[in-house]
Amino acid sequence: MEPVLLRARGVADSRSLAAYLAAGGYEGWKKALGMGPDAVTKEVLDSELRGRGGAGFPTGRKWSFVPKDHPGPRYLVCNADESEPGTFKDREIIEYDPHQVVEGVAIAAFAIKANTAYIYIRGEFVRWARILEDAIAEARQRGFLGKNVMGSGFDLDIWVHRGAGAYICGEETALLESIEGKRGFPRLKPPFPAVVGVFGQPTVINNVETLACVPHIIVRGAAWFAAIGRPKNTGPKLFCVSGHVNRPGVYELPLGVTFREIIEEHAGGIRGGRKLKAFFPGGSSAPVLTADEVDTGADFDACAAAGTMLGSGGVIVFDDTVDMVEVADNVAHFYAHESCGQCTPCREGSDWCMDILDRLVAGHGQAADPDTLLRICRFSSAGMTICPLGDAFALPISSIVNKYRAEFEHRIASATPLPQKKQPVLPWAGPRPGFGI
Amino acid sequence: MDTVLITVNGQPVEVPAGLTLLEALRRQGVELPTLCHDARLTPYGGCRLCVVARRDGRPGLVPACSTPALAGMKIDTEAPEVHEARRRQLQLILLNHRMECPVCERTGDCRLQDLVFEYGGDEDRLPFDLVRRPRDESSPLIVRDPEKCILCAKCVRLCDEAQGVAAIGVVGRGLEARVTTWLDGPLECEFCGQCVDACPVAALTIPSFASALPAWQRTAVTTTCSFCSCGCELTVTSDGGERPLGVGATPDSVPNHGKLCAKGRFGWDALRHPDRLTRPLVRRGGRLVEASWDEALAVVAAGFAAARDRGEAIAAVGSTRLTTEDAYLLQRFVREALASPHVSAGVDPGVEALVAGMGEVLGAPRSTATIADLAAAGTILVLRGDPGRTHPLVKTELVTAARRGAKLLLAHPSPATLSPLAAQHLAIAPGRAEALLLSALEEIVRRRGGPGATIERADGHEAWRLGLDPYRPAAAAALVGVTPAAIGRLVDHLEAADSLVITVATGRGIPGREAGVARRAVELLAALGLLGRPGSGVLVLGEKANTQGVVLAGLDPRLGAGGRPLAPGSQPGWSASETLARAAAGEVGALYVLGQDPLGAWPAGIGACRAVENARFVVVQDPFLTDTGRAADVVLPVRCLVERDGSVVGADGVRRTIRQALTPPAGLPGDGEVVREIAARLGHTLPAGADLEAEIARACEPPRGTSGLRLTPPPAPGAPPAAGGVCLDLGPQLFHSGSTTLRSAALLGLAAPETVLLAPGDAQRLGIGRGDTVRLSAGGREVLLRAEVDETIPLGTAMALWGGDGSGAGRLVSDPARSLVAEIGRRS
Amino acid sequence: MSTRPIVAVPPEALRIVTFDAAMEASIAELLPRYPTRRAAVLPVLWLCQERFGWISPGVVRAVAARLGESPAFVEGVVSFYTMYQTAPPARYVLQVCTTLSCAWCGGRELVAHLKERLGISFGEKTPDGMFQLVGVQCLGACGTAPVVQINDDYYENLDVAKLDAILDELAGRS
Repeated sequence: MEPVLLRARGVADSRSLAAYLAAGGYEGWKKALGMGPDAVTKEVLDSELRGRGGAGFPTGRKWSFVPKDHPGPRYLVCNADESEPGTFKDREIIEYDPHQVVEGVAIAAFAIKANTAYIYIRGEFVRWARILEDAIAEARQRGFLGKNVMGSGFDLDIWVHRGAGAYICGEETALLESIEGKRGFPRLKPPFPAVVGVFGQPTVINNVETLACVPHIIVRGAAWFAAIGRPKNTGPKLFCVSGHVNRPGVYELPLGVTFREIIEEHAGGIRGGRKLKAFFPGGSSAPVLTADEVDTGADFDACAAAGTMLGSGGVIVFDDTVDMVEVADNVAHFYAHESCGQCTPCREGSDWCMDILDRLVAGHGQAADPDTLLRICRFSSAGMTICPLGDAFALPISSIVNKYRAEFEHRIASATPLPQKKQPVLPWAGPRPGFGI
Repeated sequence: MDTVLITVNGQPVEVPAGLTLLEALRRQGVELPTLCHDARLTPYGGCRLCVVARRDGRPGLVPACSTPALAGMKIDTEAPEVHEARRRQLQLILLNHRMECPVCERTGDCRLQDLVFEYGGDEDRLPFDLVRRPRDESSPLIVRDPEKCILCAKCVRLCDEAQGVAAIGVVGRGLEARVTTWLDGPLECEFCGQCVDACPVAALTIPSFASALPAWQRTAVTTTCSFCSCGCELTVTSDGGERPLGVGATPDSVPNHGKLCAKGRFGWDALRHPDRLTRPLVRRGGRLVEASWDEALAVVAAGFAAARDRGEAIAAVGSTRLTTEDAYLLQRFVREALASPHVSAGVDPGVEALVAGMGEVLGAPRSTATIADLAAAGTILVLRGDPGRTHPLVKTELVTAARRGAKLLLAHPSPATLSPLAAQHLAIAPGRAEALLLSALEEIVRRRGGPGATIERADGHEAWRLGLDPYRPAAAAALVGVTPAAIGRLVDHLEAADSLVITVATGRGIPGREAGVARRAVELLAALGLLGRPGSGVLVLGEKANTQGVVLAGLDPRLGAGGRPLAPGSQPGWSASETLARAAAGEVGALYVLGQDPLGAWPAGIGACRAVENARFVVVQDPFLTDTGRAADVVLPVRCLVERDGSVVGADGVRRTIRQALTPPAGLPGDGEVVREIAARLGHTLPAGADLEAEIARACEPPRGTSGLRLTPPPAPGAPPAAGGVCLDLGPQLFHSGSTTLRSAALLGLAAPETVLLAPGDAQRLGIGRGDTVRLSAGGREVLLRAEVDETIPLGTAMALWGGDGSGAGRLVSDPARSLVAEIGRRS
Repeated sequence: MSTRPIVAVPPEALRIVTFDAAMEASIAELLPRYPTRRAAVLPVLWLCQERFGWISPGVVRAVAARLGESPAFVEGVVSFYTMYQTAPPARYVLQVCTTLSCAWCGGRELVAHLKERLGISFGEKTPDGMFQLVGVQCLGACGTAPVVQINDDYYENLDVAKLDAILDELAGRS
């Protein structure tokens, strides 16, 4: 398909405002200001755009939840805290086309009548935070931002707010806490951010890719967008392919292509002539799919039907040399490290899983381990935790135990007893040793 | 009220709309297990024990603490999957909880233990080693044991949300998350001990309360705190009344909602101080010797009778720490049995603010706002002392109010603990609160082009308006110590207020005419059109527990019980200061001092020494052997308030019961019993039982309707302090505010050594550096103090925190109503 | 790419921290972006880390005082995020991604090689203060695995030879 979100990739000096304007940039912003907030929201609603951050919630509906009669300020927050393992699409957009993000933020802020927007970007992305700041400064200088934008009477400030190293801040309410200057502890919902968000005011949080779609929808119309992909799963989607493929990278494809097409055609198949063993379809928080499930459609609903999720579109591919117990252990290390510590099941459960998997990988598995893992996962997911991080570690780990149980049994069969008692963990004494490597 | 219909365990029930499931179920009497929930705090959702199953089509379990109760919900609180989930969560909690229940001091009083008993333990309870975390005993009074911590974070949230201190925080992430202080050092906090009360396990404990006595063998009595006038409800746990084994408060206590301060929680060791008397003392051959009650009372009755029969003046100086009943009996006794009008509650600025302030301007000597009003007020003006030091509960209410968006306006010279939360902080010169209010009044009246309606109708309006002129901000700002623009901003804030509560802190050493401040505060409300409006008013914060109660009991030379005027024709008696002056002049035949220590605690200038020397017969009634007691003819030991049944009236005008929570030593009587006994020996019977209660109840009744506003012309503005000297702002410390705290080792251990804080400019001008010893002198007396330089102190002002007991800088005070200008210099 | 070395102010010079005019100006520029002072905690900590190289206890106290918070609160924030350095870092902090795609596409080999070449483990610094090795979680660059972030900069599509060349250059330049 014709590139939309990645149209600037490969264009010379594509980050500059001049290049963006030459490609028709900020036309959507001008048009939106003429349409008025309600018409903008309606257009996005009609496009059936679904959030690209992971949950796939209809974007227009999210905007319409902001109370119409709210007397105080509202905020638009762009989530650029791209941290889900296997996901690197937002960085690609910012690298080649930051103004696309700025324009999307501006239109979305206008739609919900927010005069302040924050772009929350993960702390590690120093370069991309600077790129965004430069783009915002350029846009402001040109009158696309600031007081009375292009004579419309609408004021808009956009600020880049850097995180500082915490996966959980990609969760929207933890992100809001982090903007407020606090530890990234997710909030209980309800109230939802659209009603009580950052600084206690109505707030909409959208992913970078979601917002990048918005200018195109405004310029080319909802019908054009809705014609891409499948019903209820519309528009172009960025798929991030990594792992054991010949051509890892970001691919812009209509929603609904199959994972086989993504992996075999676009990413060039498994490297070294080996065979596909398993893949995460949407970041490491999605239950793993086996080689047999590669014909699953890459859209929100098809993934749900297959018992997994499209998530952020991060496809992590493993060839047949990979030991799935080690994959589970690596996943457990990630989530135990990233658990915020607020609620019991995630804090204790992720760590307990990691301990068991470390022991299994070290060759000291016990017969009860697979069932214990499944049980911990069961009581750390499905509403038992404040935020989705409980599901995020429980679902992939239990999917690996369920689908590759034989590999666990095999390790347990050849296991030796623990040589000695585990050394006490001294958390204040320094960083954790190792991350499953 | 809107209600919604939900189904709980098969039963349809109607609950108020807008509640969480947990709140709705609790109102139905259905208790859910919780560890991290606290109704006073924002929901946290950490422990996941309150999960319930939905039976209305939605799958899964939901936490009741954060799920709203919506119409049509069907909830099962006891389903097998609910119980299993709770058991599993408990197992996860126990993974990192050091279990030593048989030797744990919280055993039998531990929420986690209770819940594990209820929901069961688990087969593979401790598969891995506990995360090791050292016990922290570096703080005074409170011990932290992180290995027992279950990370419910109630302590952290209370410390931040309710106290506004945030001395502890959750540090680290995931399994490494732990509750600790900054750099794991000793607690740097107000030692309110709320964190300990909130802890569901033994992660936070008070070792001085540790006891071999298990929880189920302790007795608990709920009473009212007697340290300040906030009127906090507290529960004293003890071994049958002998020793306090715990002082706490429950979240539903009123008015404090579980909050206490360091004094209320830790100050009770004072009751067992060696100064505590157990037997009466009578002076024989120049020495005080122990005597039987019979002997001592006979001497007292004879002494009083002799003075009365000789026609000499008899005067009683009581205290604002007496119960309302005892104060009432005392004034009846003096006025009737001794036929003397000279009865007062001692030198208590709170009494002045009530009687000469509120009483004169509104006709009733009582506050017109309550502590509860702070919770709803839109704007709060905080005058005179820093409530963070004098009235800790009020401070927490102000923190909560500011956090919910109330506008906090502070008029205080020195670094108030509240200033980071304030919409405006006016660093006025010490003793200039009344001038500030007058200046604000002038601005308001002038802006309107004429006074507001309420003010205009008031008695004395003409003279009042004329007297305001010199307080025009442009002219008076220098006197107040702020800029005219700052006063203008203050008026902007005040004029924008829908509801306004003005707090007037009173306490010895806080300079300024408290009566004037209270009066002008009322006038300010009137000028803003807020007088008498529900939710607006003036809250006079008395220094001691029963300032309001003793005034209502009639323990004042100017008023009768209930604040009613004296009988026609009777002349007001002497105030406490005048009593002492007369005694010093040899005009007093018998002096009866109750709960006061003029010699030890009063400002030097009042001449207490000569008063006690020159009075012919001196009786001191006090729990402790005080300096005055040592000079008296008879000393009668009595109970402290926590050993007493009766009532006190808080700053908010609410009468609260006090109950005997601790046993008095040697079966000591209370003040009232002693007074009654002396009266009996003089042939006079004082009311008792239901008669007494009926009279007290009538005295404490709120007035019906409001009387008119009586304006007093403003005094002529004084002059700003002369250059050279510094205007000294004194104030009690949080941990040490008077004669009781002086006897509490726990509190004195927390109190800072007396320090004088100077503005950088003054320090430079005087060549004083941080840590230097400086000499402060005034009125021929001098004290030596350590100096600190503090950039928040306004130029020309020095701040000294002292114990309110006449020690240190307190010795310089000659008239507590006047600003104190002291000479300051390096010690030569 | 020329990665800027970190110059960490020594601990003894960061015991008591006062912000100079330049720092105050930067803070003053940040504050109007947010309706609360607390919201400036993360950006101000970033300013401090850029200025001092790390966040010492003295920095925590200064940030707390400047923004009207308690040191325990600011410490809670600092300790929540992995990127605030609470000890003086080496000139170059090698942050090796250890998560899925990187781990299975050469990251493990990089870690093994770095540990051997530098003679240090995760969390340690070389004795000359040149390099510090940190194992980090997903850096969000999985398509160009394996990835090492050195100070602020990403180095992607690495192998042992490329990494060696980079380290040689960094070590030689200093």
